[in-house]
Amino acid sequence: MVTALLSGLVNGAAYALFAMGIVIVYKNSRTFNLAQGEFATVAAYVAYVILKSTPLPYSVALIVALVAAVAMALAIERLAIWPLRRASRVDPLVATAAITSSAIALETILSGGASYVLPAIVGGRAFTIGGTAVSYEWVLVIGVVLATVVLGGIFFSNSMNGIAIRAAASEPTAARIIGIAMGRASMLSWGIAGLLGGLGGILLAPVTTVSPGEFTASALVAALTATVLGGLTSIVGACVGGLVIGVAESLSITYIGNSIPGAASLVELGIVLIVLLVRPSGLLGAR
Amino acid sequence: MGLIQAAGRRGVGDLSRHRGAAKALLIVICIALVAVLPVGISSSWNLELGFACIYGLIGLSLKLVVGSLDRVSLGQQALVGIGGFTAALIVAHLPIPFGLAVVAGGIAGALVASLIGGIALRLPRLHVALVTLVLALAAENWLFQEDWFSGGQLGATLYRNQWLADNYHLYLLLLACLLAAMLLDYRLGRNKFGRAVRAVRDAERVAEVYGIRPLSYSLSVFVISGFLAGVAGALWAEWEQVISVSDFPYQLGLVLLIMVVIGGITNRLGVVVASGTFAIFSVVLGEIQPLVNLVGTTRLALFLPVLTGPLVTVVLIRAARKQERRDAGGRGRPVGGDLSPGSTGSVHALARLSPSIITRDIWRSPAPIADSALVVENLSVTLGGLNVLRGISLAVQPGEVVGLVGPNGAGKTTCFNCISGYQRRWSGDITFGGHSLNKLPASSRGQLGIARTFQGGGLLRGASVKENLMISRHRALGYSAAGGVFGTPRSLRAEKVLLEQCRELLALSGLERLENVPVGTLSYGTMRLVEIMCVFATDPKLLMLDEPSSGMSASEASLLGDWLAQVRTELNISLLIIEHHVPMVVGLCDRVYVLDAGTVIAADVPSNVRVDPAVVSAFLGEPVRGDT
Repeated sequence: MVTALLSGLVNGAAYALFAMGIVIVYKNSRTFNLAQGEFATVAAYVAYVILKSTPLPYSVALIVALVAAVAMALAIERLAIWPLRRASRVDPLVATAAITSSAIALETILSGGASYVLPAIVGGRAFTIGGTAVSYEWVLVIGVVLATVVLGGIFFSNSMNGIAIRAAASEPTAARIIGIAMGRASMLSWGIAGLLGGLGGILLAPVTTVSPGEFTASALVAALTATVLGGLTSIVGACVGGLVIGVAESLSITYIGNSIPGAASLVELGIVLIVLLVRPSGLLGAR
Repeated sequence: MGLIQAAGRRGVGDLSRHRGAAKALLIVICIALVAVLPVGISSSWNLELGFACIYGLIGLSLKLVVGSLDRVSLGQQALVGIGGFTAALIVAHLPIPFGLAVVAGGIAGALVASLIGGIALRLPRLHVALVTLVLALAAENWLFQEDWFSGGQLGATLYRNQWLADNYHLYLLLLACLLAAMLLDYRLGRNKFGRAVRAVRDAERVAEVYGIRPLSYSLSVFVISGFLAGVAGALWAEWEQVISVSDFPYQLGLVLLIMVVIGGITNRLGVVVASGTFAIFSVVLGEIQPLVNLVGTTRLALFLPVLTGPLVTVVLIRAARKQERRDAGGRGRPVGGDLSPGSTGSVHALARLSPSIITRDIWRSPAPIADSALVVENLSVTLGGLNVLRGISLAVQPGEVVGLVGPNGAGKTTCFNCISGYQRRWSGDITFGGHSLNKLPASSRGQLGIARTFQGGGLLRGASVKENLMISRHRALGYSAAGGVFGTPRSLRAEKVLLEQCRELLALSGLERLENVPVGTLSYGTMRLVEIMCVFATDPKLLMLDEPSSGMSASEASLLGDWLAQVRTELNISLLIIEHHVPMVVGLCDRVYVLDAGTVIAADVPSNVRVDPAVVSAFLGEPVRGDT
């Protein structure tokens, strides 16, 4: 029970990162970014390749990996999303779906379809709760996510760039009139989404395996469920939703996973359908 | 009226009949060629062609969602799998013929689609993508892994009937199914059902004015799409004889979406050809030996997905640019100004027709009976902390013409929105002819005979003038949507009559040259005119006009006023008009309500209202002595 809860919280914290990225992009570009999971895969692969084939330290690998994820996000924003900003709302979504498909296929070609495990960032056991050993890795994941949430909160409420992004998201016309550069706001929000996705990938990679499309199938779908639960427009909701989904997944695997294959996916489908039926705006979303 | 026009129409009819015959012949030849294609080519190829048919069917099912509903499904392969496993399950356990198993597969797909659609289609458009993606993962990780349903990792086996043992025979069956689906897709678009679906896709609110219930139409299309996907799955199982969970990974959903977009989301043949090509593409590449030596077979299969992502993005951006250019071009040169020689504006076209001629001679509607009074009591609306309406009450008696005036922001349009059903949260009571409207959806209010125009122009901008008129007659067409899809004689007759009526109306009003012009390219005044013609075509009992004369010159506005006065003398319907053009209000209305800051400050005959000190103050800002 304690183990399931704790590992659920750790996964959920990572899902919260993905979910925040999805919400930031949704608020700004009014589309679901289906490529959010691929930011993570790219970051994890880049880190893996650097660690595997160069003598560079972990920290360098991490930074390069995050840069790669952000670069991918910015490339998508510039080449696909921005040119489609005046098109039908379905178009950018189709574009991210197509790019995700391409990315998965490309990863399969480059990796030969094999899966990898990234070495742990930190090793060792931190402490025990109720007989369950808590590793430093878990503590790190939760710590990084908490730090991200705090920094994100400061950024969005205190910095000019953060406020500009929020203004551009809630009142595009007014924001443009008062001189907020919409292109910049769009790039910033996608860049942040890329950073969050990359971070999520690096934190999850040591505790799961990385294979082509893996993060799209697991983390992206969990994060989308989390945003539905928390409310598509609420960053706080995304965090809460991520943690709840992580725990729900972990508990369902522990308790019904033996008799039902894919229990986590079934639970996610159930949550999405029930939330959209009962309270479509989610727990904290704007009505 | 119309001998000359009738003759002209017959001439056109003859020509199109010849063209139709030539087209039919061409289609028959193409089908025959495709049918004999597998004869004489190697058996591996033979297999791939059958697969191309199945993919074509899946592509069509997805086209219905993307093209007709403007929504994205990422779970089509899940519905395909559900259909396939259901068919295999049924054939394994029940002694029923294969044909029925295919239908059962289709029904399974339709059931799941109705569950998903019933929830997701009520929500903003992108939600369908989200729900179907989660469905795709749940199918792949849970349902298709369940031993009882899919045979787990090993998959399910479906043995073929004796008479289908030969691949070629089955190929012909698959081709027949694909053609039947194409025919269905064609029929879906050619009658009141297709028009309603289009109206819901392009302008949901306008559709509701015409009495079309958006959810029931979009859900029907979604369920039909699920049925086709399920049928495709059953045929897939029959063709391959073994299907398993690995056939339906979630990535397939992305690929299916890509192929539909590349085929052109509303282009039937394009989608089928693109999907079929996708199905056999890697096999075609595999025939090119040097390429295989260079990259290896497994990588070859991945080439297409890698290339299509960028390709789709380019396709989308090009289409968006083209659309932008078209919109800009349309705005630049309105065609409404040069309607017909000798007329200065579009309203003249309306002035040529008396209202009774339109209802009696063209639409052949029964004379409207104004038996319904609109009563609004104590209506309040609060939007974001702002009291837009504060307990206003008003009434429109049967046959009465009532004006609603007031400065900008007084709450006039909000009041209209409450009456027609677009305002979500309000309090108070609204009744029409004794029916309480409080809980009725907008489309039901349309069905009761309440029609309205919109300030921004309530029309389908991408559809032509003729198509808009035809859509507006939705409720008056006396055949069922299903009858229309299957082309019952009654529906075909009704469609023919409708087309004639629309042409006649356009001819009489002098608008025949605009018949096929997209409404979005018309000038503002002409759009207003077409909109009024459309709401008038719904046989309304209460017509609510939101600033009908805006965008018109003073002389045009007075013509419109004359025409509306004619409506009032010739027909027995009620009018509720928001208007700023004072002469029109004074000349037309029996009574006028003046709204200011969400309250009714005056309600009287126009001549009294004009001199009411409170009204003068509201409009001109002059303080009322002793009031403050």
